[in-house]
Amino acid sequence: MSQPRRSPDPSETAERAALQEALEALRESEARFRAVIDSANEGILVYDDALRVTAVNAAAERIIGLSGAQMIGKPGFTSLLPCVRDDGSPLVPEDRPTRITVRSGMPLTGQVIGILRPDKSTTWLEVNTGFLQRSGERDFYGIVSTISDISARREAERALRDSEERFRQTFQLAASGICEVVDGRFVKVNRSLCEILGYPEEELIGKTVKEVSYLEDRDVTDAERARIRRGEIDSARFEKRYVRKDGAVVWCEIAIALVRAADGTPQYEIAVFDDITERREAEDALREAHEELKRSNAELEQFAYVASHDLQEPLRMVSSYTQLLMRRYGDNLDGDAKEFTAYIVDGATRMKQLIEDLLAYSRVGTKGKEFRAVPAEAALRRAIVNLRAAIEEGGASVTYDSLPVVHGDDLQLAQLFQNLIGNALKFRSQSVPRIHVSAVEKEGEYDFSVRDNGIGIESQYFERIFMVFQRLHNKGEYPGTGIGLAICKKVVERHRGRIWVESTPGEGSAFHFTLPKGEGGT
Amino acid sequence: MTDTNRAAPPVEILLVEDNPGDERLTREALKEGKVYSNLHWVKDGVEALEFLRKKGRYAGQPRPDIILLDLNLPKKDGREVLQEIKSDDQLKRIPVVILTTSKAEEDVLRTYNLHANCYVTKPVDLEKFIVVVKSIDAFWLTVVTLPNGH
Repeated sequence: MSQPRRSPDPSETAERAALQEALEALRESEARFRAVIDSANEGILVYDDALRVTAVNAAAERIIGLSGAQMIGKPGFTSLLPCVRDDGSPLVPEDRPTRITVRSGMPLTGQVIGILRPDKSTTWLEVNTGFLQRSGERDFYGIVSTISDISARREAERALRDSEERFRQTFQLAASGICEVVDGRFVKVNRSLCEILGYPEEELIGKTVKEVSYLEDRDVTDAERARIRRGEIDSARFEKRYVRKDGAVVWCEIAIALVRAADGTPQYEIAVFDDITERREAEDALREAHEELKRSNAELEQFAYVASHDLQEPLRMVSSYTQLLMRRYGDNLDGDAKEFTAYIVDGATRMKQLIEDLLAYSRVGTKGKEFRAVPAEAALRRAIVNLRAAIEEGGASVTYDSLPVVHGDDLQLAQLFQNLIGNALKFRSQSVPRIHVSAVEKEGEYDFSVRDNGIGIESQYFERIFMVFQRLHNKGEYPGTGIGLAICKKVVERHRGRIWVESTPGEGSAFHFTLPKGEGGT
Repeated sequence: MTDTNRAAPPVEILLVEDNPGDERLTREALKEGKVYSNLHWVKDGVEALEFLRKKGRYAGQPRPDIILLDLNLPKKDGREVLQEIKSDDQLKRIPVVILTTSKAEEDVLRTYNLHANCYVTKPVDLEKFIVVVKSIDAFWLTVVTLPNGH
């Protein structure tokens, strides 16, 4: 090019033009090729025969995180960045894709290399290589390497592995029995299920669920499982019995779901078993105890009724014929004989009263009405009306505050007030009886009190007075069998309340009882 | 009016009762209460209905003016007897007094809704029983002195 200018030779000129044209075409082709390479998603690195980088595309710069200028002339990115092998061990120069390719003389596919980033993350690459050779020549003049970022794929694979591992551990370690069932047969079972059903794993697998089910419960899951299969419900729960290998019956709570393939085809059923034998047995025992209690209570009521009924007949004979004897032959009897017969009649009369009271007591339980809203004031007023004669006779005053509406049996509540006020009238002191009824609201219940200024009760008798036929005074002082407060207690307890007394002897007593607010009791 | 009616025939009473003690007591109470009556005694429900229907050995017996019916009877109990009497057109107008042993029993009976004319709890006290028997007499007299009888 430094030659002096000459006039152009026409043939030379044509040659130049052709060359120029060829060069243009080459440049154009190269530019096009370059554009293709640059637009590729995969990173492409070109090495010369000394295994130094001569060209990189934009994708390679992006994936590796180095510019072309940083890499060109160097033995690739593995010499510039800390890299690891597929298994996480450090990548040594011998592991470089270019060297492996040259060493083996074969193109390389699928080598995995990780680039360790300063933020502790790893960019995982899959590297393929190939030789650059001119046609007809044996030796290569370079190597081309393509890289793709497989970090996301590896992360997904790792997550899947983790999740599978977690599932495997959960499956094996779960306290619940877990199994996979295909066509009604166990295909996979965990340790807990083997323990619950008492079979070793190898014996359980292949068995049908039905053959280990308790005969009567064999088909209880069929309908619901069919619904799951039809897609009407996602899962179902049951309580059913199974028979262990040793023949023992075990109650299980089971949850069943169906695992489907992406296209919706059912793949297998998964079932979780929990051994609830103890709970069921406790429930059964409780139910039986409850039934037994009901039965024995009913028997007791029946017994009380029959006994008191049948007791009355001989009693009537005793007292009636004694009286008849007195009526006809009384004139011929002396004072002692008359006194003795009077005791016979008195004994029989009291016996009859005891029996009637016992019957009344047993009827609190058997003849009670259904509960409904009852204004306590109405029940109290009814009691006061019934006691009018006794109140007037004693010159007593009975007062009351405004009382709430309660949920209960109106007749029994009236009886309750009547017995308590009647007691207050009976056990009066020298002063004029003053009786006051009030109620306060307390933590979901009403606390009623019937307060008097009577003789009071000593504290050691606070419990005893509520027991059947317990009396603190002899019949000469105060009449009665001692049933009144026992009936009160039974009425209050039927209303799910409590009854107790507070008292100071000589000053008076306050009988308290609670009734639940709103819907309470039956 | 009681005095004028004393000239009437005696009250025919049918007592249905299995306890001889009670039968005797009723008889004595009628005597003590000076009730002018004929007491007929049968011991169970089957006999009671035979008596009322004048069957067999009861062929010549009168139709009772009043029936005293105990409840706890062998063979056919008082409830069944009452039901049969009240569903028999020939017998249903005869007043029936149910004798019960306790108030509780009376409550139970009322729930059956049987058409007894009256319930009487047998008292332990003889004096009271005499009063009861007398009141039965008065009850019967009231019935028979009503216009048209029933």
